[in-house]
Amino acid sequence: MTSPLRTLAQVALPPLLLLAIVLGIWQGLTVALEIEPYLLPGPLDVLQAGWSDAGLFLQAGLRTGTAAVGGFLASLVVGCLTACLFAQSVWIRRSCYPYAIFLQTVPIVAIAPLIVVWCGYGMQSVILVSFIVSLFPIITSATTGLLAVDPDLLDLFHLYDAGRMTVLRKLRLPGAVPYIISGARTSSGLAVIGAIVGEFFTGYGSSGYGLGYLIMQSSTLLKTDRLFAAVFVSTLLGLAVFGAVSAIGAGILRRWYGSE
Amino acid sequence: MSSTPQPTSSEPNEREPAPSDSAAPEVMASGLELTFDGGHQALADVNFRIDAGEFVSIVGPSGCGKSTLLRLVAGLLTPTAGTLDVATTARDDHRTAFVFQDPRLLPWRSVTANVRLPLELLGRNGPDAAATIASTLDLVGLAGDDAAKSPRMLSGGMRMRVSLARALVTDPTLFLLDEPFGALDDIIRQRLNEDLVTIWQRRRPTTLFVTHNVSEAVFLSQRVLVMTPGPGRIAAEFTVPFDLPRPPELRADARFAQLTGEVSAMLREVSA
Repeated sequence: MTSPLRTLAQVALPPLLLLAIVLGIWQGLTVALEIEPYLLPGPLDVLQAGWSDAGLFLQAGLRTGTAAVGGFLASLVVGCLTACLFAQSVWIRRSCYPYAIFLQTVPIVAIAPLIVVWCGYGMQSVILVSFIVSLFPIITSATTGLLAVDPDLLDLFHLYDAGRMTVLRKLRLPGAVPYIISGARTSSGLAVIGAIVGEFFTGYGSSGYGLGYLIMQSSTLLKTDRLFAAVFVSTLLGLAVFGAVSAIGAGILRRWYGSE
Repeated sequence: MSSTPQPTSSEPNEREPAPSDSAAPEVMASGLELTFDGGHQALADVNFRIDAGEFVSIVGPSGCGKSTLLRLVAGLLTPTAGTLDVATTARDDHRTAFVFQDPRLLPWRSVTANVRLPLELLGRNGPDAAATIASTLDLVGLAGDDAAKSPRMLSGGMRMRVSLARALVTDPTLFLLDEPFGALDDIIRQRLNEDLVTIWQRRRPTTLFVTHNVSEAVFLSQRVLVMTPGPGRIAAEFTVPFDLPRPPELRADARFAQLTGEVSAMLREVSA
């Protein structure tokens, strides 16, 4: 028996150790080679930039996080509903699936101006971009889950005269939960990326700023240390959203399958 | 194909005259055929009659169409030729129950909720459902404290008992089982066989049991039908003369061994 603390140490310690080594080498090199800070700031410079603008980053992170969570939740709902529709007939799947792939492949850069034209600058446009970017994994994984029903169980439901909606509600949807959770994990990371990319193109107008704006602005002003800090905060935000969705998903699965 | 040996009705021990006409037939198949869309003929000219309250087993080599035949009787498949008459209670009142090779429980439901499923689907989930479920769990030998458990906490044998309870909860008049105990080890299989006879004796559903295990078929049934493969048809019929209840010691009985041997010999003959 290994204690949870020990497991955590075994999982967390090696990557943290590696991080410390990399940061140490990085700091050492920037000092030893006298690299200009606007080209490559040392980790300590980045930390300082982040610390001195902590309020700025917190505000931006919260805003971007709100947009990402909004986009993710919209994807989850719309993705599951779309998948329920797809699961109804092979013809619906054949007709609609190419357009679902379109969502995956469309360059967001290309449609960003359209989104601004239709929805204006602001939170709604950022959420829309985040939604478009994170929708596809939910649709595919939920559709796979809804179709991965055991044929014997379908027979069982038909034996007792269950209709399409009953099969969906009592068999397909509950059976698809693990698939939807796995799609949601992928989608949650994409939602954060989508929100930051959305901020590049649409922004919030004069009402505020997010991490995407901080990244753009820092890069324009050659504030490379702040740019690094912004990237780091973006990564943390992505990890936080992904971690939260994974934890909620694991909790649901535990309850769903009644493991001890 | 036509070289498949067909036993003649002159073999006195193996062919039983049709059961007395006083009993109503629960299932009656004549000239039953099934050809799948791809052209594969699964069943050809299947004829049999099962009376209400009988326990009949079908044995045959794998791929002979036993499961297909069972699905036809359940109404899950439609025959391409011939007639299949099933008593109206079983069909129209949804008093047909089916047990699969695997327990096929819903992992997100507790034992009780799994057993409740047919009642829910049929809209019979009224106030007396809880009592029905409890008595059915009791019938299949599941203790009260198993009711709230998740299927994944149960052993394979226990899961199969839950699957039996789910089938029996509607008090079926036609009980169809498709090699339900094939994946279980021998001791558990034997115990479930003994319990199944007891359950059948108490409830008396017309039971059609598919298996490839001859001794299981002889132990359980009143009649054993032997099927031949490619395409499937009924090649022989044996009557099992042993009294009820059937104790475990019956398996050591010389007459049991003899009948099992005869059925096995026939099975070997038709599979050759």
